[in-house]
Amino acid sequence: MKGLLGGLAFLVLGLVAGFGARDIANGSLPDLGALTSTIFGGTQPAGIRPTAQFTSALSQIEAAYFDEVSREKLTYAATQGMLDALGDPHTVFLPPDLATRLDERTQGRFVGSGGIGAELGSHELGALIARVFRGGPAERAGLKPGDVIVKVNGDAVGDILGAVDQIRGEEGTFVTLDILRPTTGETKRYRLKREKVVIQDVYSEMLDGGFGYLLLRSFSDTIVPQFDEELRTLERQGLRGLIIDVRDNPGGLLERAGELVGRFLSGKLVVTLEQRGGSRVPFYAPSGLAEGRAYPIVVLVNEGSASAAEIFAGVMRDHHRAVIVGEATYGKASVQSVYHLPDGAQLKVTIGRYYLPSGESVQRVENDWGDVVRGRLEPDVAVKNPIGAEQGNLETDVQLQRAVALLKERASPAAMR
Amino acid sequence: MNEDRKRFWTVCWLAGSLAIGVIAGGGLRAGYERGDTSAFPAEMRGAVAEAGDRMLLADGRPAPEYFENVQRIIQRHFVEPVADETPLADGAVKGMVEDLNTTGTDFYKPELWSAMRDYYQGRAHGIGALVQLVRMQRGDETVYPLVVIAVAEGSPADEAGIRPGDWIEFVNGHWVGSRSLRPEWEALHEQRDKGEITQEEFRERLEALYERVDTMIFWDKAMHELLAEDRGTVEVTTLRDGKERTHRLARRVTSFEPIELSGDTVRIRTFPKGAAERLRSLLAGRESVTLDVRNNPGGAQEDVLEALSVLVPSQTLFVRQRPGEAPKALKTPAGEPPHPKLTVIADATTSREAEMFVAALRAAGADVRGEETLGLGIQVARYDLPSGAGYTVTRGVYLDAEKSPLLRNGYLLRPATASHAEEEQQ
Repeated sequence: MKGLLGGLAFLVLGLVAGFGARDIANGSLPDLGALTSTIFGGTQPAGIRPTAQFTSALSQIEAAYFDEVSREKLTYAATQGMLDALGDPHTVFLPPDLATRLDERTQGRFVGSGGIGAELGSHELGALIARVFRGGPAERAGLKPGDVIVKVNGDAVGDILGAVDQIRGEEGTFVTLDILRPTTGETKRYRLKREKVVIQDVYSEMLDGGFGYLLLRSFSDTIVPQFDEELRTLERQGLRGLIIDVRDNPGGLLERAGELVGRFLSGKLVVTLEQRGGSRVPFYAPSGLAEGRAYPIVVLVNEGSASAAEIFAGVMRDHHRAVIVGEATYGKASVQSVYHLPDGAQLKVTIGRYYLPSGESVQRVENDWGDVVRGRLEPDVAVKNPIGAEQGNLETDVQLQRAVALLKERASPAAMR
Repeated sequence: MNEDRKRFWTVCWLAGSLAIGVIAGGGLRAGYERGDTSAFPAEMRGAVAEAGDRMLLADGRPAPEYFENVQRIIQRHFVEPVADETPLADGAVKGMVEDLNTTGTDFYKPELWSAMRDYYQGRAHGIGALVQLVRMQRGDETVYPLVVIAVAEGSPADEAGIRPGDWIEFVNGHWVGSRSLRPEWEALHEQRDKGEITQEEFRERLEALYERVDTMIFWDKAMHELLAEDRGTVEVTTLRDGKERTHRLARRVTSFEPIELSGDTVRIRTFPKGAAERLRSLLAGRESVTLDVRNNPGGAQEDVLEALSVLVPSQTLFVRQRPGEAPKALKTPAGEPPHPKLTVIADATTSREAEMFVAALRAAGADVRGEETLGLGIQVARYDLPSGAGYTVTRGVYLDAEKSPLLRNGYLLRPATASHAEEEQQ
């Protein structure tokens, strides 16, 4: 802070000297009022005032456009357009209807009272099944990630949020889904009974040879006890090596990611948070929880790994505790704050950035061609999965196969005892 | 979410996994982001509405104040202090304009806006063409091609054989996203099912489709590379009659005479400022003349109307503006005789205001030859912004002498799926 103040004082002096000298050379005394506003005008940014331009353009559009326009919709569009100009994909505006639906979704997480146990994504033909939950109605019926829901109860699927609304319903009732499997091009009809869906954030499985597989779906608030339990289950079976899968894990809470890091690295630096104005705050993993865990670890990542998932993988790598296998990650290294607007809309604003222990920022930066020119977490061992590979299935999951092969090389015979 | 993004996601239907990655990372998991959930700052809640009863949102809140609140949150809290707010001001306009998702309603950054203005005055930049983003009906789908509407004679585009009506498909290898990939995707599956391609070929070509979506650019970037840069080269792939052609073009400025007399024919390539004066001087003393308006993308409406006043007595044209309302009359200024006997040559390379020009001359008894005009006869208003950027707003559709709209051949104002769409084709 001292350094910053020093710099500012220097800047002020520099400006005074520059302006003053010129004014005196012109034969006039420096105008102190003008100087003050030049120096302290920093609170008032330069350029065209956005509100004035928005207001006049809105009037012009309303007067000229051939059809009625919704002033509300245009105001929301202008707001999002202004945020887009910041060039930060994570500073976004959610209009009231979207904000409400997202809140319901994140709080109730797909469930309502009953669901089919699947996570959905966008798809032009309907809704993409991104994940199926173990033991849930969707999995038992044979639905697979990559399948596309084209109709729900005979009605075409609109957007993804609409699909969630259509699929959810009372526990014990039925929903009919027309499912397209893109790998075969076939469409089949399924009738599923809605059940209370319990979200599992952690899933574990013991693979052959004493290698454990731990899938982390997201870093939710409740992940830590689940993680500890699954990890203990694996360790009781004699763990020679561990694969932690954070592919398609969109992140979650930084604190939880840090706590999980503490299971393998005691008291180590997780990230440094940088706030507006440049202040930096380090964030450490807890101590004393990593005892007796010497087995090698591979972390699996892909382009769907973001935020806390990237932190987890990056920290494990930076402290040489894990090898990262898979594909370059999404690249999100920023922290958002949510502002609630009076009409129910929400504004998510990036208020800080974080850096990995190596000092690296994984924040994705694209040029205007859309090419990523900086950021993302590059894997130590790059392996791409072919289209149609089923994650977690050793038969088709090439990235998982590679992870197992690496562990076989690294697992010490000592650990076999 | 603005329309451009919506369209992006629509086009991204193949990349389902990409979509969820980005949406889940950016939006859906709002509740999982780290960060303090602050209440709406108190000092903003109490802000006094000064906008009066003007510009109220549906629920009675003033639009400017709502917008300003957001802008102040950004100013105070965004991780990087905003030094110059001009891009934010322009972004707001861009957001509104794109949200309307209408042919002829577009936002242009300063370099592109000035390059387009220059074209009408006879200075073509870049590859030397004009292109426009349109919405079109193809089967049961709406497509968003970037269509070449004029090519300057002697320009790099002209030399390469690019013609009005061509679609821009790729720029420097990046797909412009002009149409849905669904037909290709379906054809690919059909070929595999019939055993025409091996599983290996099928995978490779499917990967290529993913790749195309991954590297897609937006139309304004494509247009900038083609029309606003005067140096370096650009690789462009066009589509005509289902066939792709790729050209590498050296960009430069191409100058041409917008209105020129050769023999008994007046070639009208655009309607620049002062078009009427120019025509008057070229036509002085002539009893008959042929006007060639092929390869003409129009110009500002007032310049076209003034040009008409030199050629024919005052005409009443019609524009359909508000759907459901009676067409609005548009009167051309009373001209000064002598009005020569006119022959007009037009075809599918005659577009926008030039189509209205041809319709007006036909209504006045001119002998119109050639072919039907493009069918993109839309009336637009053009607005300059202080930054040098500009935007256009679609005011309506010009009607011909039979009062049938000059919006034809599959061109749409808005996607067919949008409400009110049926009225536009009436």
